[in-house]
Amino acid sequence: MITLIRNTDGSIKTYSEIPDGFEALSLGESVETVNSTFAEYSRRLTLSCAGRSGETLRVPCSSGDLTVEVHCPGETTISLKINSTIETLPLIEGQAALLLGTGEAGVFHLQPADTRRYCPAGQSVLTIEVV
Amino acid sequence: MAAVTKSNGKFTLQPDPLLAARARSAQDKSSLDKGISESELRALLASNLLRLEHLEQE
Repeated sequence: MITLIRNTDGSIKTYSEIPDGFEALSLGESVETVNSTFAEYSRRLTLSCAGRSGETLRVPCSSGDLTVEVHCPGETTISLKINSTIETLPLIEGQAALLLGTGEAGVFHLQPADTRRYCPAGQSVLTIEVV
Repeated sequence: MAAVTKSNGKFTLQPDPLLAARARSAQDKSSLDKGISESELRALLASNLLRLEHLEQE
């Protein structure tokens, strides 16, 4: 069983295995419990690049295309927010891949579009700095 | 955050005007060594004002 805290807009703020998350609760936020383990819940959506996940990657500009692997077990589609662009990906056996170009310097920030369903943290977000 | 566009299945970052202005700084400086047109001068000022605005915000 995990404890989940939602922001006032319903998006997931955080979750933990601690049975009561009231200490991290701010005015207007809500708490709910989910019958899952922390590991299971955090693996519902995983974004990775070159086997790395949950960290900021730095790659040189013009170093070739990057492939981001998307794992979302049990789902047939997933909507991701790539900077300000929303992209819905079809999933095959819960997996998909995205291609990112490195021709321009800047930052790619990928996160779930539906933050009421997926917490935009940990392995569900991926930041890639093209420098 | 830079805008992203999708073309032929690939996502690419749109050039960030600030990063482009910063990358052009040496070129801007050397442009003062020769005669420049009014349009070049406007571009130089716009580039420097952009960098200054962001510097003030940091």
